[in-house]
Amino acid sequence: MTVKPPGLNRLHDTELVAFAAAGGREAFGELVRRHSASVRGLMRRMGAEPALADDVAQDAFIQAFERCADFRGEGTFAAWVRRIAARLYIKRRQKDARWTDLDAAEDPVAPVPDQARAIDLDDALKVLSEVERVCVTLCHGAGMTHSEIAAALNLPLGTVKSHVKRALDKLRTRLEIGPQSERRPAHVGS
Amino acid sequence: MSDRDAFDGEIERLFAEPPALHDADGFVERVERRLRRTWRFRAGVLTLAGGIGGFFAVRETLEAGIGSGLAQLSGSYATVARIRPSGDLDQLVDGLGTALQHSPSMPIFWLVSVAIIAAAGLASWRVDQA
Repeated sequence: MTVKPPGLNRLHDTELVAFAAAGGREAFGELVRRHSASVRGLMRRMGAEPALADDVAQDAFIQAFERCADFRGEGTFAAWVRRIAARLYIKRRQKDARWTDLDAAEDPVAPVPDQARAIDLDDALKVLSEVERVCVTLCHGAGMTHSEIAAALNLPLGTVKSHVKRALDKLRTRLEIGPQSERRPAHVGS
Repeated sequence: MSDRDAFDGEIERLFAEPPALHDADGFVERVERRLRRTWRFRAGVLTLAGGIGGFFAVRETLEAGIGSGLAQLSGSYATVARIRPSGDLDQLVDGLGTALQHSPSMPIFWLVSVAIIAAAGLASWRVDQA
């Protein structure tokens, strides 16, 4: 029997997951529609190129569909898929390079902020080193604990904590540039 | 400390806001296409597995001499049929027991195999329709 619940857009995520677990591809399509931006965005914030970000996000949704029955509803569906996607991205990257190598990478040169517009998170993330970016995004974007991140990245817990702290400090500075620069126009022009 | 808390809250809020991405519909379509492809592949594998299993079942059946088995079976049931008009229930039960005793198991196996193949085909068709 084909699972075609009526009014998919009116259903809650947990109801859609239940339909999807019963094989309802349309219900799952609605979930993808609702949360694709969140998952794709997370991948990009972790530093993935757009094509790779979409590729991993797709894999994550396919995996989520296959594991719908495992979703306990303890958190949100979006958070659950984001965690799946984050782990998939880490696996992909680990095939390319070890995170310890990334750990040794130098900080990128911070681009001169565009004072004409507000600096958003995605711009601010660009000033972080890759490992800082990944750590802070896993922590605040995917909702993973420091211990989970340390295990996933195969890094010591203390290292992860310091990466997250340093990343937050940089973001804090970066995100506060906008209002400060308005108070200091001479610096802006230089 | 309160600044730190406020900043943490702000960071959480910023991360919770997905960035504006173009081609959202295209992405959903690609995921749905992949899901369809995956399910078709599984349906194909299921059907193929059923077909291969059925093929081996049929081959084994033929190699086991289904012809003589069926002849033996029809002979046994003919005995039962001859008993039936007499109305003797005990004789009928005995006759059925004899028929089953002498029935080769292979035809049953063959019938079950056919049923499994049919069920696999039906399941794969329904999976594809879902």
